[in-house]
Amino acid sequence: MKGKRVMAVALSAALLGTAAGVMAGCNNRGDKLIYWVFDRDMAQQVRDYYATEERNLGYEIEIETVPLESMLTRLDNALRTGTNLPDVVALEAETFKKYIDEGAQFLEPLDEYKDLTANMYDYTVEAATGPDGHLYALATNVTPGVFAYRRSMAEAVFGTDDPEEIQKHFDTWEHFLESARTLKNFTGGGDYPEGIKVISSYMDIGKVFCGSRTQGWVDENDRLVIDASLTDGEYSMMEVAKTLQTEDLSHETTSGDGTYYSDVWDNKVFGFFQATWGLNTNLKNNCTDSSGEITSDGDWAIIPGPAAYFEGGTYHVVIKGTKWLEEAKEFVKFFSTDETYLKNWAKEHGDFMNNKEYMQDLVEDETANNAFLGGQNPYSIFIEQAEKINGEIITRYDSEINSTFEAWATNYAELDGKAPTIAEAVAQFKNAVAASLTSITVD
Amino acid sequence: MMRHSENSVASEGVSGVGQLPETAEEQQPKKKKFRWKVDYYGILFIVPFFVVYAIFSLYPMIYSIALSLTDYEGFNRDIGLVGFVNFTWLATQPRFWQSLLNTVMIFCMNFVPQMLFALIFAAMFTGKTYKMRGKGAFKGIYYLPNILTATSVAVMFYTLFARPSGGLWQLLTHMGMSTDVNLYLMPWPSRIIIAFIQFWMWFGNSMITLSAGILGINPSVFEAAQLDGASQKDIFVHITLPLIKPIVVYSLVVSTLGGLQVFDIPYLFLSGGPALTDGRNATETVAVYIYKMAFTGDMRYNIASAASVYLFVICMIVSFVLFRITHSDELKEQKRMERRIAKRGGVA
Amino acid sequence: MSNDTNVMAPEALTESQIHKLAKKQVPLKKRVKHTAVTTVIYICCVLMAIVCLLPLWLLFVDATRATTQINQGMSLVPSRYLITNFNSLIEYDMPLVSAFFNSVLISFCSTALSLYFSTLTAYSFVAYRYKGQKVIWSIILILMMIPGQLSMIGFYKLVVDLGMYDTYWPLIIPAIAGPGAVFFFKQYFDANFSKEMVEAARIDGSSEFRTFNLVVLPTLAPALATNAIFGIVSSWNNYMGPLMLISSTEKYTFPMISQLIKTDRYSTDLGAMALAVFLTILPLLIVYACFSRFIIRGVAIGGGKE
Repeated sequence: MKGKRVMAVALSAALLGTAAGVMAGCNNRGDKLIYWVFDRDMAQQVRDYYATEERNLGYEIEIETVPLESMLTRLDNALRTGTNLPDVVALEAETFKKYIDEGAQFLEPLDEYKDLTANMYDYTVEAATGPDGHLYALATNVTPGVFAYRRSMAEAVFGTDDPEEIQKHFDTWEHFLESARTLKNFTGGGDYPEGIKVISSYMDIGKVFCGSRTQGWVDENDRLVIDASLTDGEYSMMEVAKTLQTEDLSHETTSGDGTYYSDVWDNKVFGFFQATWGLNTNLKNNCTDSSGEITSDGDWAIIPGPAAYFEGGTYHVVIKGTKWLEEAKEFVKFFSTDETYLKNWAKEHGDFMNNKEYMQDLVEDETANNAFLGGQNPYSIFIEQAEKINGEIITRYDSEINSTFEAWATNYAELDGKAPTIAEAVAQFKNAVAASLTSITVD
Repeated sequence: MMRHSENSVASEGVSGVGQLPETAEEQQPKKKKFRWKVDYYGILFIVPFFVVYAIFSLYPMIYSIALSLTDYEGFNRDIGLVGFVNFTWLATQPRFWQSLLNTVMIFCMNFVPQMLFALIFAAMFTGKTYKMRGKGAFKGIYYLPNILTATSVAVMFYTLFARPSGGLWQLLTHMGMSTDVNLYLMPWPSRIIIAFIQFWMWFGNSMITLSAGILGINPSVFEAAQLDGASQKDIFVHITLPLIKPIVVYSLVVSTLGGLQVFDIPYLFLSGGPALTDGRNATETVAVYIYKMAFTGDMRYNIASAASVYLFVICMIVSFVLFRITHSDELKEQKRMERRIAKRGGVA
Repeated sequence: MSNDTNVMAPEALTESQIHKLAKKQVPLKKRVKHTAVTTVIYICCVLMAIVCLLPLWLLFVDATRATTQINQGMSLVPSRYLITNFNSLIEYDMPLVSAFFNSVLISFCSTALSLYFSTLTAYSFVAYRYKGQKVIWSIILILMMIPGQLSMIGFYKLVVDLGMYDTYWPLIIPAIAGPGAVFFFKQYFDANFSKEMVEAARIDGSSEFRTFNLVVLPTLAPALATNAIFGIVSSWNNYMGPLMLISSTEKYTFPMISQLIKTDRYSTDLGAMALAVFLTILPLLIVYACFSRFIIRGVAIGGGKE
């Protein structure tokens, strides 16, 4: 009997709870500028530099930080139904192009800022320009990639840790592989009993090759194009990957796995291909083991490496029809042009921002020297690499096709005995693209 | 009159014995008028279900199914009808058929051992022979994996089998596997790992469901059978099993439908990879295919909708077959039971 | 009678038989056999328990380790960074407490609604007879077979059209119409429903609702407990739903919070992440501990009947 009453009470309580809970959920959103961002650091910058008390904007900014993939799903839903849209959105380089392509439908043009773009890196402007010629986004940072290596290992193996000297050993893929073999056979009198692996994950070269192509994945008629640097010749992506794998020159990790990160301090791996931001987030954040005894902090230096590429980047767009048009544009402009912000951020995080002039200033600025890189000032190399980036290769399909291509390059490199030939792997890659992206014509 | 036949129809999902006394007593033909009025409550009681279902599930679903006949993709706003093009296109896609095959393979590799183990353990825990200590604790532990979110489960297992420092990967190399092997590039190992994760996550769930079924059996049925001199084996095979059959059927149907729609683990674990020839993928299930088609790349909702319609039809056929098989089994079982009872001079 | 060869089928023995066995003074050999079987069963149970517990333990261990340690590989021994991880979780400035109560509210309400209306619907099929009942039942079976992945687009549109975006309604109300739960309870009724009990209540003058609420519902205790666990777990772990439909940070649910840690640009604080995941499931563990006792008590309820 007791049980029954308890049950009845519990049920009615639950029903009341439902009503109360839902009522509580019904408050109206105040008038705020809504900003969606996929990155906590970026959100913090808005609080620290933009929506500050001194600046006294006169309105509030509501910052919603959501992981990238989830944010895009949410954004697609919002755009499709035209409801619950934010005012400003931070997008990421690998996935933002589809919104630029649809810019006329969804985004506010930022053409009035075209004259401000003179100081920006051309590729960020090219990538942010829609097919209709309007400018739809401004990039906050520029993300050229470099090769970061361990000074102590360089000293031991090549007799010097000077970036200019080391670059000579890694300036082409041919030299890169030669040096990789030297490293592998180097034991340093027992200091490195298993030799040194040139990189941790051999597929890291995928982003280097894909980022340094001369042609994008599709031409103007949406035909699939495979850049020759990926498949043709001894030093193409596929062959270099296979050499690294079969000759045991890499540590055979997967980028982003635990071992990949512990390789940063563990004395097994010579270097990493990383973009500007990656030096800080991927290397510096992981350079000390948990006991605090082993660290590679300060033992790093960067060189341009065998190819100029880029990885990532944050772009700001203003959503069409926003009630906060002027404020939103002002916001976007600030994060691509404000000198104090750009310089401070660059120095604090070793990051590289989208303004040629300010970044040039940092080359001579000793406060911009990077302790993690053994006091090296990275900006001249960043600038050199950034100048070479080709924005035309950015297409809306990049994230999908890159990973599909890497999957087949991996099959070619790894499946001993059962491995496809390059021609077979390419044919299968084309099949895979055809099966997932129907808007692309595959020959 | 009518009611009589309807009653026997209603008890078709039931397997005989436990129900026999009740069905016998049920037909008391008094208060006919009152019964009719009362039966209206039956309709009243299902109203909330159907109203809510119609609004929150049926409408979105019909909306989606309608999309399969259109050219709705990407951010395209002028939607036009295109007929069955999406269905015929899909039928020519090796990747789609492979995803169906993967779904079935992963399901079978997970479900058969899962049910077997669940049944054994449920029997072990509900049997009264061995005064086991800590039955509750064991049961509790077995269900734990089901509580974890799929995201963390996928990450956890991914780490365990990852080259070169995953714990289980290293164990395998100690057992003679080459250190060059990357399990995630190999179709069968990838499938097996996913099936194992599914087994691991759902074993406890099935076991609890089955235990609940066994616990729900009226103990007097056992007593009666025992008094009648039935052996333990007979009791298990001919009384316990048939009596929990509704629950087993429930598990079978729900698991099969769940298995055909499995999404989380295959998607989070290897996102459908490794790649096979002809654009096919080794662990991509139909649900993963649908998701990828609709929400990545070209965002082809029409194709994804057509694929879900196919999946729906397949689910229908499979469950129809399942019900037919289990139903005919039940009839046979009931007849056998009746014969047995008749032979022994009746139990109940 | 219980002949000895059948000792090997332990699951089939019942309590009274054990007494008989005891009374018969089983020969030593048989008793040894009995002990051996028990040992084997225990070993099986323990092995299975380890397989099930290990990953959870690993998760807990990770919650006590620093990110660099986690990167080094797995460990079975907890480390000393629990407090550090907790502090960095606090530093993330996420509304942990409100998210926790939001999740409690949503999962409790949706499970309660699901249990009540599913049993009510299932009850309608066993306690009453009306025209078209069979057809309606088939419809519910068919509803179970409809794959859910794609209705997301339509569902989102509906929620927006109804003005329910950024409220908990769309996360709670649909629980009323879960065909799976209805099917579950119908199956349970089929095996356990006692019509006399309902008739007796009617003769006592109890209304139909009252009969259902006070007479029928309590007899479903084991099944309700089982299904409540399933309901709470799935509602609690629902990540996609709230993500699509909730936008205000103060309305975030618990699993959303643990995902938010991933928004550190391209890298993650794995220690804090593991702790967040562990904290997310902790309430489920506690709820489950309570409910599982309830299920075990279900044995007594079943035994007490008649």
